Amino acid sequence: MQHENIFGSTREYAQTIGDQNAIVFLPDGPGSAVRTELSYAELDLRSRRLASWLQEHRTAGDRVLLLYPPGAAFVTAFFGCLYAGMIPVPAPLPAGDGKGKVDRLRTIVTAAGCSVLFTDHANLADLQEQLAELIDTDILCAATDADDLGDADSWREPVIRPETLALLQFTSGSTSEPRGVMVSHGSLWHNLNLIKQTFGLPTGAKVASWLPHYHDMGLIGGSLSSIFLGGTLSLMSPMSFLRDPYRWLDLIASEGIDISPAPNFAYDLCVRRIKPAQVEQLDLSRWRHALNGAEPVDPATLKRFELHFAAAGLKPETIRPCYGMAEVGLLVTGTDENRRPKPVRVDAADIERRRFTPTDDMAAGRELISSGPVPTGFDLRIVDPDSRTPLEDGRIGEIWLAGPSVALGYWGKPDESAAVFDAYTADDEGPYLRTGDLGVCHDGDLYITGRIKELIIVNGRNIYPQDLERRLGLLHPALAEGASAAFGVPGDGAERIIVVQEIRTAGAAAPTELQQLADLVKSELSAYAGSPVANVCFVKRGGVLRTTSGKVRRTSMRELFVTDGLQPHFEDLEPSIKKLHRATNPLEALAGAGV
Amino acid sequence: MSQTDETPVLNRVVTAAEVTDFLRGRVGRMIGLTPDEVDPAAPLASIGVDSVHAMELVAELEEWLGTHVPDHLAWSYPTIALISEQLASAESLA
Repeated sequence: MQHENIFGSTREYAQTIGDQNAIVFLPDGPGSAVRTELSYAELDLRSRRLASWLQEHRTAGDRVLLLYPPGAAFVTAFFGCLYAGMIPVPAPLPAGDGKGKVDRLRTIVTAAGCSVLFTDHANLADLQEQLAELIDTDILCAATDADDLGDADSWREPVIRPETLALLQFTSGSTSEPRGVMVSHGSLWHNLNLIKQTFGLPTGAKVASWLPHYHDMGLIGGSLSSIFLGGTLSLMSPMSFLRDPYRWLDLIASEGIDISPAPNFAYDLCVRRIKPAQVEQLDLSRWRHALNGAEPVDPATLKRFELHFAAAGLKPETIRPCYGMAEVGLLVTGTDENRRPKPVRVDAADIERRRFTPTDDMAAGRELISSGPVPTGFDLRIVDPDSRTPLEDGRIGEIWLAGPSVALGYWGKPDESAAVFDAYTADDEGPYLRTGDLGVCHDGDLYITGRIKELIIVNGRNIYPQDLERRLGLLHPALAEGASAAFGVPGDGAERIIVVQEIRTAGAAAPTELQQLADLVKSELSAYAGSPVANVCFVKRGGVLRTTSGKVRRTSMRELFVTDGLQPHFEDLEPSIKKLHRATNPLEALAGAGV
Repeated sequence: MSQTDETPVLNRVVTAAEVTDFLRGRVGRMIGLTPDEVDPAAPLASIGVDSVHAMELVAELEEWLGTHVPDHLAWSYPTIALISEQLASAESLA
């Protein structure tokens, strides 16, 4: 193959396997949507049309915001941008109330400097109305699903070099710190090849995904991997999966799917919701790659899933823990064809102190599962995050990465990009990407042990603590006065959000007043975050630790919380969090807490 | 999401109190409380019910009621009390 990018390979597939379906989108249930199919030739033709329309109105390198419901129209619009030499910016359709919706739209339009918005007819009028409320926007809006834009004959092939941007990947709907990862064509191509090699995927592989199409795992691990391989992608909506997880596994069984990725929570959900009688109807013996990534992998989840679906012929080696992030496209490493993920039992208290101590002690031990081999596609270093000294195997430190998959930086954020993408070790080796994740290389495998970045990950979705803290201060005068810290802690199967808020009168106020305030915080923040915020602690002034420059020390606050050192005046915690983090024996608590 | 989600037509008559009892039991089991400890007036998310669990509730309601329940019930009516009221009045609205 002459081409070295996804545009070139898609053009070639349109010639060689034009009649084959690139995408099949499945309806949610009886009567709710239509099954749609899109062949490689159609994808190519529609992309050329859309690209010619874009080229007529805008210039190469312009950003195009893509706001779509799940389906093939999104993928076509994405490729339309690539064919035009413009940069797609996938994002979720704004949901929620009027004000929040406009805020989120404004955030991403501004952050990426988008000059075009593509959507479908069902959403066009509503989005245009919201955009009209944003000042200083000169955005062309168009619906692409009727396939009536542009003329394929006037399309001009774009100039694509390895360093040309392929997309901006926004990793959360954060309104305070939107960060668009600049994925170049070269890094995307390298990462797609790495995915193919890591899992030994064949050309023409069958891929299935219900993941949100704008999420890095859904976009790169689902849609783009499939199209890169010349495969057929079976798409379902996330809601369809959540409503009835059986549909996902039934799709895998009936279509003979090779590969389908999902975050850890999805595997637990399948065990919880799919009854033994349904399991017996499934044949999962052909499923080769059940990728588990995008949030911490829980060894207990893997065991439950393996056991529950053994009757459906699921092979234990199908389940593959992975590790990755948008900053490298998607994949860093994954469990390959020839090995099982390796569990190792380590001292739970030592892990919190960043010490890796294998143990046989069941009570004080916590099981970690490998995410795959120490990757060959990267120069990976384990580095002491404070001294920036590289550490030898068997020591826990921050994972630093270099290699052709690493993205170019964050769009429009030179300082942050330099801090994250341009790091040098104490002995001046670099540049490296600082992942913010803690890990250890042990016996040839990579184990993720925790996180030093302050990101919260709930059900595979990224939530930035800054957003929650800022919102908190607007809810009530008593909350505006003090500092606050939001962070995630391990819960029962999923990460849970904790907010700690200083209140001046915390000691003096009546418990009922504090409870009312806590109820307000929980309702308002949950609605704002779109995820439960069900744990609130009120502390006295000065109870939220800060650096000398005044930055909230969220990681330290998290440590205080999990070691029961917070000493709040008032706390309102979920039962599962109490059980895990307020147990009488702290070792027991740590042992139960999967990071 | 789909705009075709209408108020469900129930093929059995339920009272708001029956739906509330059912939901307090299910939600309690999800978050580790006894049914009595589940506040029907609290927003579901604020007591730890995430979108994954909310869809589970929708599916369980469907099975119990023997009828289609819209995806967005738990978002449009974010407390147990509101869901119960809505479902109990469904027949008269249909």
